[in-house]
Amino acid sequence: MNEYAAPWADVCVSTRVTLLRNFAAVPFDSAMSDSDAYDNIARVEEGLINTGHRNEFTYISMSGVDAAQRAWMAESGQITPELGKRVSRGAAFLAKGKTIGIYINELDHLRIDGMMPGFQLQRAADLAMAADSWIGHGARYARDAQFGYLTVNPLMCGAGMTAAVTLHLPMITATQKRDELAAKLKGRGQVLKPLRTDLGEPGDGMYRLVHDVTLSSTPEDALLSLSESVEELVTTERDIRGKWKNSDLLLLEDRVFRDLAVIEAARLMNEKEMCLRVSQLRFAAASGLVEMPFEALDQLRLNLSDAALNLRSDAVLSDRQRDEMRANAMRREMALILPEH
Amino acid sequence: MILCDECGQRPAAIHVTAVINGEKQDINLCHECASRRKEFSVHMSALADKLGMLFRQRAEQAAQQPENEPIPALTCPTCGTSYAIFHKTGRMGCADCYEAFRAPLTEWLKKRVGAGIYAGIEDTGSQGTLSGRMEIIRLKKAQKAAVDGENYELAAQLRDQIRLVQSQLEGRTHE
Ligand SMILES: [Zn+2]
Ligand SMILES: [Zn+2]
Repeated sequence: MNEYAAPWADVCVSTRVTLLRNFAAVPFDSAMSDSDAYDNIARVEEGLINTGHRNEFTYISMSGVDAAQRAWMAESGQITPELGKRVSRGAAFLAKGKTIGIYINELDHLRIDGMMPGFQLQRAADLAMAADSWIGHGARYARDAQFGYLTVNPLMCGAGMTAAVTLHLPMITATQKRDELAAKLKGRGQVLKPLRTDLGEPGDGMYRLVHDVTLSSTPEDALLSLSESVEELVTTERDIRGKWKNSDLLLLEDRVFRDLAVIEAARLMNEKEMCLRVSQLRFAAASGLVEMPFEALDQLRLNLSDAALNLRSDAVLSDRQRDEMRANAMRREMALILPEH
Repeated sequence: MILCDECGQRPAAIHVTAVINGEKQDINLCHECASRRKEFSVHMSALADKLGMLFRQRAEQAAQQPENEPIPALTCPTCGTSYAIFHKTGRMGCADCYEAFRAPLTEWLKKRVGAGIYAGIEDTGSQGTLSGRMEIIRLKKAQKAAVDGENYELAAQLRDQIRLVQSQLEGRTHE
């Protein structure tokens, strides 16, 4: 099926480990001057230069990109939505392989993300920790013997770490096991929430599982606990998929190909529906009924977002124009996928 | 518990920074009042997304707490942030706020996260990579499960694996 897919890509879209850091002796966000903000950027660049990693990163200043670009970068996860709002002070160093993002002058001075496709929590953690050590090489972080890393929001102090895994759980959603599982995860300090809360629930089975209370546990324990939860969700999702496929393949094919036929027929498609349709394609690929790399589908979902379509067009698009563009693009994808059937 | 600035009756669930008459204002709103104030909708959806979980947690915890948490009259000498401001916004003004508010903050955190605070202070460099340490914890758990299940062959294999990873980690200490 997908030989070169990332680990567990049939269920896991991507993994992100975040470290929050503030420089010692520099006021936090609300009390910081413009020159403090500028110094923060310089300090990061210096750390990257001194440790020989500057060439691996592209520098982007938020004041240097327009609103449409910022919206697209936030939508596609290249920057955080929060950074996109910090037009005058926000900046980022982005690793060329999209595996590390260093966001400067967000709520905290630094937000350092390690990012990997599929489920790769340890790799993502190592990437974030590596970037953390490059910057911390010459600079001093605000730390305290009792509170650990000092952050703007004290609930984030301690390890100053959060981790999140984006998951595709269409069968857990369809069989209404989600709430039960979510309640169980909540007891471990983890929250399972729909990926696109802004669209209402598109019913696409896309979620983000976030663990962000590292205050009372070591980073290792927090990440292992998240890891166990992901394993549970993946096992449950695969179980239901497998049972369906083994018990009634014909019914599965009927459902999947009906869904694909709708995509072929559609002439107008809004963003919310697109999320659902891409989810159906992803499920079809995971079931082995169509051949399409998961990463290509995840990219398709981003490329057909409002933010992406707005960026690609010179003129301001109406909702209807966007919906038409989206339906056409989806049909082109189907032409690539379906001929064999 | 922080009450909604608009109705003053329901617990605030959303924190909004708005510019009103050229002045930046921090506003706390409940869901009902927030949805009525459309002018903030752009800020809100993004902020609510980012902070939603935090506020939900806080609202839940606040509900279990005595109504009036004492607010000590403390002010950070470095940045001028008062404890009352922190109590309202949940945000520190600078690193020294932690020092200035240490005692009440410790209580505040205890109420919200229960157990002790992991200070995260030990130096990671002396113990290899984070993933290496995770691997050892994972293997040790598997080893214990193997022993509990009386699968001693597997337990022995895992013990060797743990030694291997540990020696690799120590070898990388001076990188
Ligand atoms: Zn209200
Ligand atoms: Zn202060």
